[in-house]
Amino acid sequence: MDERQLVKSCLKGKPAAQKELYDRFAEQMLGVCYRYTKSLADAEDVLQDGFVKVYRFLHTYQFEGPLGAWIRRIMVTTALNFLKKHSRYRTDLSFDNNDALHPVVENDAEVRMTARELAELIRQLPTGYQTIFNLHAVEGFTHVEIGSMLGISDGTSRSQYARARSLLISWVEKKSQIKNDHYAG
Amino acid sequence: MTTMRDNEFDKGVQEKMGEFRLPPSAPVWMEVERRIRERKRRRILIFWFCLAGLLMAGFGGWWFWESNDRPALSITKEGSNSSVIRSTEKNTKDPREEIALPAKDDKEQKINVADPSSSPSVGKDLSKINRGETTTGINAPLLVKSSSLKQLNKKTADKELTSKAQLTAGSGKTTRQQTSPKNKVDKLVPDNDSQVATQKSTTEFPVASTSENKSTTEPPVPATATLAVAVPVDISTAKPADTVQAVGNDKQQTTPSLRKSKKSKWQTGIVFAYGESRLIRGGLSLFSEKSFDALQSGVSSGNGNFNNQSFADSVPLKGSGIHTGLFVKRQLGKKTSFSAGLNWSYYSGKQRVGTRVDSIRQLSSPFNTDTRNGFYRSGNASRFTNRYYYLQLPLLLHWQVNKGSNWPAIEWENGFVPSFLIASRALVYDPASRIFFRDKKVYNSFSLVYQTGLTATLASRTKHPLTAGVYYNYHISRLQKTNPPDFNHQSSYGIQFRWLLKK
Repeated sequence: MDERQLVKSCLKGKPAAQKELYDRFAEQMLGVCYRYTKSLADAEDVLQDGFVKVYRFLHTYQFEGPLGAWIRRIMVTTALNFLKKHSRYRTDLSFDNNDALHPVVENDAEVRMTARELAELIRQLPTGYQTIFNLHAVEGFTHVEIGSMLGISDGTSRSQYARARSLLISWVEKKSQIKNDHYAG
Repeated sequence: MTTMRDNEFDKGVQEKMGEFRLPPSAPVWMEVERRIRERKRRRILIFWFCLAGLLMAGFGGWWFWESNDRPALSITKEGSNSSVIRSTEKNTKDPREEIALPAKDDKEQKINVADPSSSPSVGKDLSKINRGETTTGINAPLLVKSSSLKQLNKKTADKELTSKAQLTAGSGKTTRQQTSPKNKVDKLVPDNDSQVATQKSTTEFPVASTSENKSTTEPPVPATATLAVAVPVDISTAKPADTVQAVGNDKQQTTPSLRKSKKSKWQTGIVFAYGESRLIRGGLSLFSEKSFDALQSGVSSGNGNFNNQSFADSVPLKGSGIHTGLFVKRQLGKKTSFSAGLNWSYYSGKQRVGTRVDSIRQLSSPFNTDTRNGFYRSGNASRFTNRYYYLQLPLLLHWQVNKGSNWPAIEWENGFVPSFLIASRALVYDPASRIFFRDKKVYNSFSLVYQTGLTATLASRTKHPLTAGVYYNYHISRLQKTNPPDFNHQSSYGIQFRWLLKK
C-alpha cells in the first residue's frame, strides 16, 4: 500500500491502516523523540501524543512532501510542547544559565560512533543545548526559525548551538579516544 | 579548514541521526489506539448531544410558536355602542370584567358586514366568523350575538372558553341585547319592541355548552360567566330567504372554524444553577465530609484518628457545580406543580496529588491489575481537578409554601433526577499502589439523584417571570462502582435561577 492509499484508508478510520501507518513510522519517530527527551518513557509519551495528533490532523496532509517528513515535523512540535509543559525540562530550558559550561573546542573531532551512542551523547546535553542542536543540526531549521519556535532571538540560538556543538565534539572526541585506547590496549 | 570540519561534523550527525531508530514498546500503540477510539466515541456522543439539543430547541420553539399562534378572538366595537365578542384564554379575572357593558345610549348602530371597513375592528372579525362559522353569506343580514362562556373545571380549575354566535335576521331593524346582570343568563332576551330574530342560528364551539338554542339538547352547564351581546348590523340588503338558508345550514355546520383558544397547561423555561460540589460519604448529611484543612492538620472531624497522609492522598476537595438546561412545568393543583427537564451538569472536585510520572506501571490492586501509562504519585505536590459531566433529567414536584398573591410565591421543590455520566476527567486512587490514575471504567454511568430546593418567584406579573432560590442535590448512587472509596457520593448545592419562556 503506497502512502496515498494508506492515508486515505486511515482517513476512513480503518484500524488496519492506522496500525500500518504506526508500524511504518513508529521506530523512526521514536528516534526523533528520543533525542529531545531525557528518558525513554518520556520519548514514548511524546510518540504517543504525536501519533494521536497525526491521526487527528491527517486530513490536513496535502501530499506535498513525504509523509515521513510531515509526521516528523509533528513529532518535533510535540516534543517541544512536551519540554515546555513539564517542569523538569522547563528549568533546564533557560538559555542563559549554561554559561558555566566551557567545553574545549576540538574541531578535528570525527563522528565515528554508532547512531545510538551519538543520540545518547546528544541527550546528555543540557536541555536548551540539546533542543537547539537537534533543531539546527539534525532537523535543519535555521536559527531564525528556531528563535521563533522557542521564543528566543536568533543570536541566542546561534550561540547556544555553537556551545552545544563544541561540547558535543569534545565528548565525541573523548569517547573516541577511549575507544581507540581500548582497541589499542 | 575549521568551517569544513564543522560542516563534516554536522553532516555526519545528520546522517547518523537520520538512520537512528528505536522500537517502541507495545503499550504505546495500545494507548494511541485507545485514545483514537475514545476521541471517536466522544465525537459521536457530542453529535448526539447536539442533535438532542437541537431537537429540543426546535420542539420548544415550535411549541412556543404554536401556542402563540392561537389568537384570542376579540371583536371590540369601540365607540358608543360597545359590543364585544371576546374569547379569552384562561383568564382568571373576574368574568364580569369580560362582559361588554351596554352602550350608554340606546341608539342602534348598523354595521355593514359586507363592508368590514365600516367598522374596522368589528367588521374584520365578523368577517372571520362569517367565513367559517356561518353559511349566511357575506351579504347576509346579521344580527350577531356572541356569548363567551367560561367554565370552571372542577379539578383543574382551568376555565374554558365558550363562545357563541347567534345569527338572527330581522326585517331590517336590529336590537341590541344585553346579558343578565348575574352573568349566568344564557338566553337572549329581546327588547320589548323587538322586531327581530324570529329565527336563531347558534354556532357552538367544542367547549360551548350553552342551552340557548332550542334545538340543542345538551344540558346547561354551570358557567361562571356568560357573555351575550348582540351586535347590530346592517340588514338593509338582506333577504329573508338567505337567512332561512343560513339557519338551515347552520345546524349542519356546527364545526367551528375558530380554533378553540385553549392555552397549553405546560410552561417552558430555562434553568441555570451554580454552586459548590463535593464528594461526600453515604447518607444525606451535608456535614459528613471532612474539610481539607482538618485533614491537613491531622484533626479528625469526630470519628477518630486517621492517617493524615492517606486522607490527603485520597479525599477530593470541593469544586464547582454547574447545571443548565430546559424544563417544562405544569400546574397540578392550586399549590402544586410538576416539572421535568433536561440538564447538562458539571461537577468538579480538586484533589491533592503528588508528582506526575510518565511511565508505565502495573496496578497492584486486587480490583485492577491493568497497566497505566502515566500516573500521579500520592502526595501534596500539586492539585488535580476531577471533572464529571452529566446529562440529567430532573423530575420535580413543587409545592407553594406561602399563600396569597401579594407576596412572591415561595416554592419547595423535591424530586429525583436520573443522571447519566457522559464524560469525565478524573483520577482514581489505588490505595495498594498509592498512585492516582485515570480510569473511566470504574464509574457508574447511571446514577439517581435526589434534589430539593427552595425558590421564590420574582416579578411574577411579567411575561417571563424569574424564579431564584437555592438547591441541594445528592447522588444516591455511588460514583465509583469498583473499589469504592469512602467519599463516593456526588453532591452539589448553590443558587438556581429559572426563567419562564412561556407562561
